[in-house]
Amino acid sequence: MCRHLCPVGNITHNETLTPHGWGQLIAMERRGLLEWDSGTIDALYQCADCGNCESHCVTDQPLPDAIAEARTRLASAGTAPESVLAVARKLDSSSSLYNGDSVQLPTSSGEYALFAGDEADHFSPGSLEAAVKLLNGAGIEPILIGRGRNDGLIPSGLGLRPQAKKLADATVKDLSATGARHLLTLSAGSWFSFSRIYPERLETPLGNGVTVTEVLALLHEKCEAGELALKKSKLDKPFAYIDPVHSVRAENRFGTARSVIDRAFEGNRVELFWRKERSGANGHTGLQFTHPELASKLTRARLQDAKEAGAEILFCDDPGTVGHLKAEASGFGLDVRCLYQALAGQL
Amino acid sequence: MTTPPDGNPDSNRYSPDQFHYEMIRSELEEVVGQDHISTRDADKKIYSCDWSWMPQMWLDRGQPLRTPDFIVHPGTPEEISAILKIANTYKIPAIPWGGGSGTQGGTLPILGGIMIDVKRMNRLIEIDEQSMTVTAEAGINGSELEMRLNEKGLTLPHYPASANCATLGGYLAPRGTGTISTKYGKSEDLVLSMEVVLPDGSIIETPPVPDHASGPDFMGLFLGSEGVFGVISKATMQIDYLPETRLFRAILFDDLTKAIEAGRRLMVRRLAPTVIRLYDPSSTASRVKEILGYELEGAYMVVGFDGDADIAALQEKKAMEIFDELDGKDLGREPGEKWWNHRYDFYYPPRNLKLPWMYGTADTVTTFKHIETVYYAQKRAVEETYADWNVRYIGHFSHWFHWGAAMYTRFIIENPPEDAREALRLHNRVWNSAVTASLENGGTINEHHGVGLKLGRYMRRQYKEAFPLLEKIKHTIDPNGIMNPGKVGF
Repeated sequence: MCRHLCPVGNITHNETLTPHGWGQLIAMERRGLLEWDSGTIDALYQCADCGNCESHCVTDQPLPDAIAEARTRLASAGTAPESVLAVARKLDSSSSLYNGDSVQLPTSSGEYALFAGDEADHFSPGSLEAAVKLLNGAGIEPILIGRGRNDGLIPSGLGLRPQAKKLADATVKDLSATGARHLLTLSAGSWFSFSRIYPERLETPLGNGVTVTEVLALLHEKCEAGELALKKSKLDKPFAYIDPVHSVRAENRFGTARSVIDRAFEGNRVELFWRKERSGANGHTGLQFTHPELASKLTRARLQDAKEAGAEILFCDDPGTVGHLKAEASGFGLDVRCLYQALAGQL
Repeated sequence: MTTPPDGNPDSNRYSPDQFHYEMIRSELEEVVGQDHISTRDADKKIYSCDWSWMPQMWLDRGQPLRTPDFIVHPGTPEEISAILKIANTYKIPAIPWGGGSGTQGGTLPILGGIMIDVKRMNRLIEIDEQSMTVTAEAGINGSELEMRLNEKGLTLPHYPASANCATLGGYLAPRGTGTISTKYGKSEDLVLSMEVVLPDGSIIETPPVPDHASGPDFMGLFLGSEGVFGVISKATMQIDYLPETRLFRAILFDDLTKAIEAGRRLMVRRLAPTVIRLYDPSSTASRVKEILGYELEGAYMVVGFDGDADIAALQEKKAMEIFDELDGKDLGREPGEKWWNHRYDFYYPPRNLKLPWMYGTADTVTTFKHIETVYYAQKRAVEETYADWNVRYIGHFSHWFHWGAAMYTRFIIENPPEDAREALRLHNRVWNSAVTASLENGGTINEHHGVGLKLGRYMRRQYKEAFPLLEKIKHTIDPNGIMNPGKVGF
């Protein structure tokens, strides 16, 4: 009954490719009514693992966990799609889904650690530096950790538990080395990964008393407290904030993101239809590896939504979402901007 | 037709039926394109089952269901037309599918064939704020349509529990009812016109408005037809402004008769309640307690009014006078508002009825004169006949009219037979008892879930001498009997 908010179902219009369909496939396999063959496995891997179904589930069913568990069994048996096994092989020799292995161990300590990850440098170069500049402007000197290392969310969702666990162990080790009590993230996805996936699915808690906070949430807090000042500029084109993938899994972020934007920019800010609690995934999910065409369709659907809302400039904080949107934006006449960089320009 | 056992496209050796199968597949693919047809095993299995208890139970007991042979996702009425022509050529079933949320087995592909999923046809075509109508393709999701209307301060006042998954076409095909139908009407009261693709491939439109003196109610033929007369492809619906206020209260009656009388007086005095939800004492003691947390004895009623604040307040005041006359105890706003906020919890896990239990909703509708007779006849028929199964019978009166009300009655057996066949037989026997009690006392076989597969066998008893006329209409419209065979008694 969350089908109306499943971005994949809304794109494919296929009953199988909905929370109901994936749940049924898993149940049928357990009942012996279906086997995991190439067709059923392909269907199982078309879930974007965006979390919309769980966030809107009236029954609190952890469907994404059930899907991840089924995928884990397939990956363990070597019967996951070749694209997934290729990701596993890459992560067996690297910490990044995108780049080579260049993770540097933290050499200093501090109260705040910022997980740099492998997405910012790959998808939205400059966004990490902009985020750091903003944090500095708020009086925070974060210790960068995990630059070049994936946060484990996509590998976990693809059923690559050993690889995700390895990534989680390394990040927790880095975090511990910094002595930080606050772990900052550049995206809702990383926030969800550290807050939920690590302790629950990967049994790798961050450590006692460590809080996880999105950079955007912290910036909002600092603005509210008068500890971060942003200049306000007028934008002469309609603009919008696009809720990135996994937004629905994070805490109270919808108002936060918009509030920070409103402090820095004035003009005609419009809202997308698929926004906030009903925001849909874009291509920045595991689908970019397993079903790139479907991932691209999801991205284009978000851009189409923005176009229909009358936006000409789109802001987003999540580097992965920014990268995927930018790759398709020209076809829609949209100007996609990294929110961190845009805000840093207002310091 | 039968899906060839050797249907694997990777196989080098085909079964004798494969040629026939591939011919049809090829023709369908030409119509919708290769991206919009599936013969994948995964898809066939998912489209083999709707929300009704019978197939769900069958699967839960580890038994396979008949699957469709082909699943197609047409993008236009012209494509539906071409698909139906192919179905006629090969004389194979064609079954329309919207959200798959039906509870009567109305979309089960019991003879295989072509499953026509209309969800690709999901365009919102026009919102006419002057005439207060919305026109959309039949495959648009109910909640999405509602959210898009809400963006403009508007609403399609049809709030079924299935809205998150049901489609506009699915609202209309079984003559569905939503929570606030008492004021705004059933889906059939909200529709102005429809586009329908007939079984022979003709694409027709009903007159632009429903209220006229330009011949018989032609559109009515397709409302409640559940796909046996064609495929609804587009509809224009009446819409409303989102109300300025919604007021809810709960009233407790120690006597069901007085409670029904209170509802009747609200309706015949045209106080226009948005909702009157009256739980019988059994439901009050079980469902209201479980879901809302109120431990009460008697009949629990929620009444609501909406619209302009001053008008709604006055309507509520008048209603309270009626409740007072009939010894109704005002429980205040909070229990009414809690019901409104949790109204769908009754139908979802973990509070819903669920397998391996056996259950069924024998909803019916009748006039005020007969309503209690039908209720007690059904209750006796179920409780006394199936006492050995420790059956429970609960119900509420959910949708009210100027002349009567709908009963949403349910039977529950917590320990049904484990064997799937025995369970199915018992389920049908309980249904026989409940429906017979309704029909013999002035009720109908259903009020808003539709007929589907489950109630088809009662159509002849419902329509008596008129049923052959319906059969003639069916034969005229669909001479090859391709449209959703086995449903609605055809």
